Amino acid sequence: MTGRLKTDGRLKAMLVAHYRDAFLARRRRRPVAWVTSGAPVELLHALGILPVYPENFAAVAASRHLAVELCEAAEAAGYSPDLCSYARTSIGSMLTGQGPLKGKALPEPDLLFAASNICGVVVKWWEVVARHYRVPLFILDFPFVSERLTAHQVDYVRRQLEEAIAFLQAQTGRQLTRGALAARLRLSAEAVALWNQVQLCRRAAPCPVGALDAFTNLFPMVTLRGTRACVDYLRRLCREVEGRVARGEGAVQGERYRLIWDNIAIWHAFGLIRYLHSRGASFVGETYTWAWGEYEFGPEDLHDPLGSLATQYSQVILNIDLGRRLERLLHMVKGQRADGVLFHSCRSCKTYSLGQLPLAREIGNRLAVPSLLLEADMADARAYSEGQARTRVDAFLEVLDSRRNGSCRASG
Amino acid sequence: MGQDAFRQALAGNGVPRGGAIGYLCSYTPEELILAAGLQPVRLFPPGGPPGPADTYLQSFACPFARGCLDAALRGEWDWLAGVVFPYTCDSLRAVAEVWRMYLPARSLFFINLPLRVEGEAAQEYAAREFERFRRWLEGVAGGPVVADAIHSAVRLAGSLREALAGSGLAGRPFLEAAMGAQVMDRLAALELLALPDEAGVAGGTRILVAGGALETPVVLRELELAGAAVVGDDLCVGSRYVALGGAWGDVPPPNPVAELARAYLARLPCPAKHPAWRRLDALLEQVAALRAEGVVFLLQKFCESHAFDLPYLRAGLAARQVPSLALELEQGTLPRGQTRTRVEAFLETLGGGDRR
Ligand code: SF4
Ligand code: SF4
Repeated sequence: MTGRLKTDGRLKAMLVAHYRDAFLARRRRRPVAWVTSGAPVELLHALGILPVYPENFAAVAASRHLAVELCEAAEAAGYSPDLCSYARTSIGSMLTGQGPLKGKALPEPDLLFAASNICGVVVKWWEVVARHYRVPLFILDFPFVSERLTAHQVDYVRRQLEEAIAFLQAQTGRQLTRGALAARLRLSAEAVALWNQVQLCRRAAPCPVGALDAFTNLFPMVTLRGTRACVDYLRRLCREVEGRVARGEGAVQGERYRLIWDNIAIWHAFGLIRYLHSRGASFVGETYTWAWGEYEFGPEDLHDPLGSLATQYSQVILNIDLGRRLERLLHMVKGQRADGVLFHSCRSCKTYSLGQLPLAREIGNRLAVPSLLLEADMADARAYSEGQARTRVDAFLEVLDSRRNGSCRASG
Repeated sequence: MGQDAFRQALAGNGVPRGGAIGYLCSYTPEELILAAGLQPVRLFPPGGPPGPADTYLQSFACPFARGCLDAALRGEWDWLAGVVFPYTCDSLRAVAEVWRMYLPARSLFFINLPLRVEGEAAQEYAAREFERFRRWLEGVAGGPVVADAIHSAVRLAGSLREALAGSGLAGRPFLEAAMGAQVMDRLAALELLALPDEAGVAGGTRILVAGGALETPVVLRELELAGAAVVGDDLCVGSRYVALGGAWGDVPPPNPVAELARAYLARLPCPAKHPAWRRLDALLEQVAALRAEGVVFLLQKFCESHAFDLPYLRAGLAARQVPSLALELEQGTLPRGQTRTRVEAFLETLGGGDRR
C-alpha cells in the first residue's frame, strides 16, 4: 500500500496555523466571522475577515472523539438529540467553553454569516449563536433550485450579496474593492481547477487517493478557498497525486473494488474506511469532496462577480433538485469507473440524506450499480456501531464479488 | 356552530372530488387558488404507522412529512388536481422531491419561498414566486386568474380568518373549526361559523399550546383528559393561519399579487423562517392576553426548526414565571398513558386555574 499522502504533514500545519490565526485575530485587530461551509467565502477573504467554520470545528471534535461529550452538553441545555450533531457539538462547545483546540472552544465571533444553500439548519443554529454572543448576523438566503435556476432567483441572491457587502463593511469598517473580489475569485478558480485535477486523477486504476486523504484534504478547499495558500497547497497535492498515477501507485493495496462515497464522512469512524481499504476497496470519489470542485469562475465571470457568486453558490449539491443530483452522481459513477456506491445515511443531515433511497434505486436501475446504505452520523458516535457496519460492508463486498464472477462468466 | 360539519370535513367527507388543489404549510397563498376558481385543501396526513414511504425516506424524516408521502403513495390524494409545496423545511422539501420523481409531475408545484421574511429583496422575490404560482394555477384552471378574482378571494379568505378569530372558540373546538375550514369550501365554512356557538369553554387549568404542524385536532384530547383547558394556540394549523389578517378594503391594491406576498411575509414568522426573534414576544403576549398559566409545546419528532427555538422560548417563558412542557408527537398522536401522567404532573405544578 502506498499509504497516506506526504502533503498530509503540511495539511496539519495549515490546520494548526488557521486556528492559531483565529485565536490571535482579536489581538491583531482582524475581525472573525463564523461562517457556514456553503458561504461565498471569497467575499470575506476580500475584506480581510477571517472565516472560521463551526462545521469544520465539529468535524475536528468528532475525529478526536470529543463530539459526544459536547453534544451531551447541548442536550442538557434543552437541545434535542435529533438536531444536527454539528450544531449540537458547536453549541455544546459554546456553552461549556470546551473543545478540541487544545481543550478550547472556537474564538468568539465578531460577526456571523450563514448561507442557506446547504440546509435550513444553519439558519436556526446561527440564530442560537447570535443570541448567545449578541453579535450581528447576516443570513444569505439561496432559494432551492428546483428544475432550473431562474433569473429572479439570481437577482434575489445578487441583491442580498449587495446587502451583505454593506453589512460586512459596516461591521468591520473595511472597504471592498472590485479588484480585491475579482482577485479572490481568480484564486478560487485556480484552486477549483487543481482540486478537480486531483479528483480526475482518481479515475486511474489503481486509484491514487483514498477517502481518508480526500476527506482530510478538503480542509483548505473549504476554509481557504480564495487564498494563495490554498492554491499553493493544492499545487503540491496535485503534483504528488500525478506522480502516483505515473508510477501506477494506488492508495489501496490490491485494489479490488472501486467505490463512491455519498454524504459527509463519519469523522469518528475512520476505522471503517481503513477496514474497507484493507479489504481492497478503494474510494474513487466522494460526492462530498466533489462538491467543492463545482464552483466554476471563468474569466468572463470576473466582470460580474456578484452575479457569478449568486449563480455558482445557488447550485451546490445540497441546493439542487433530486433529478440533478442524480445526474451528477451518474456522471461520477461512470466517469470514475466505480462499481458500487456507499451511501452514508447520516441521521443528522436531512438535506444530504433524505433522497438517498431514490438515488440508490435509480443508480441500480440505470447503471446496474449496487449500493449500500449505512446508517450512521458524522459526529455523534452514539448512533453508530462499527461491528454492524463491518458486517454490512462484508455482505456488500460479497455482492460485488458475485456480480463480478457472474459477469465474467457471462462474458467468458 | 357546525362543529360536526367541521369534524366531518376533516375526516374527509366534505372534500370535493374535482377542482381541488392540495397544499402543505400555511405559507401557501390559498387566495390565489380560490381566485383560480379552485378549492384549496390543506393536506393533513391521516397518521398511523409508517407505510410505503419507508422505501423512499429514512426513519429520521419528520413524521408529518413522511405521513404526507405515505398518503400520496397510497393514492389517497389522487383526486387532487394538483399539490403545492411551499418551501418550508428540509424534510418537506425532500418529500416534494420524491413526489416529483415517483408521482405524476404534472400535479406538483413548488413555491420556492424565501427563507428571509424581511427586506425589499425578499418581498420582491416572493412576489415573483407568487406570480409564477398564479401562472401555474391558470394552467390548471384553464383560464386567467385576474386581479378582480384575487381581490374577491382575499376578501373571502380574510372574512373567514376574521370569523375564526372572532368565533370565541378556543382549544380543540377552535382547531377543529380552523383545520376544518382549511379543507372545505370556504363559503360553507364561513356560514358554519355564523351559526350560534354551542361549544363553550371547558374548565381546567388554562394552557396555551404551541408548535408546528398537527395531523389532527384530536391530539388536544389527551391534554383535556389530563385536566387542561386549552385556551389558545400558537400553531401553524390554528392561530398562525388565522393571524394572516383580514380582508382588503373595497378598492383592490394596484398589484394584488405583490400585496399578497407582502402580507404573507409580514405575518408572525414560523420558526423555519428568518428571523425568528419576534416569536418569544408574541408568545408572551398571547399568554398574558389569554391568562394562560402554562404553555405546552407539541413538537413533531425530528422537526429541527421548532427544536432549535425550544430552549430559548422555554427559558424566556420561565423568566416570566410561565412554566412550560414539551411533548413529542408520534405518528400524529400523543402516546397515551405516559403523556397523561406527564401532563397531570405539569398541571399540578401550576396549581390554581379555574379547575373543576
Ligand atoms: S444539517 Fe447537514 S448541511 Fe446542515 S449543518 Fe448539519 S450536517 Fe451540515
Ligand atoms: S413539522 Fe417541522 S420538520 Fe415537519 S414539515 Fe413542519 S417544519 Fe418541517
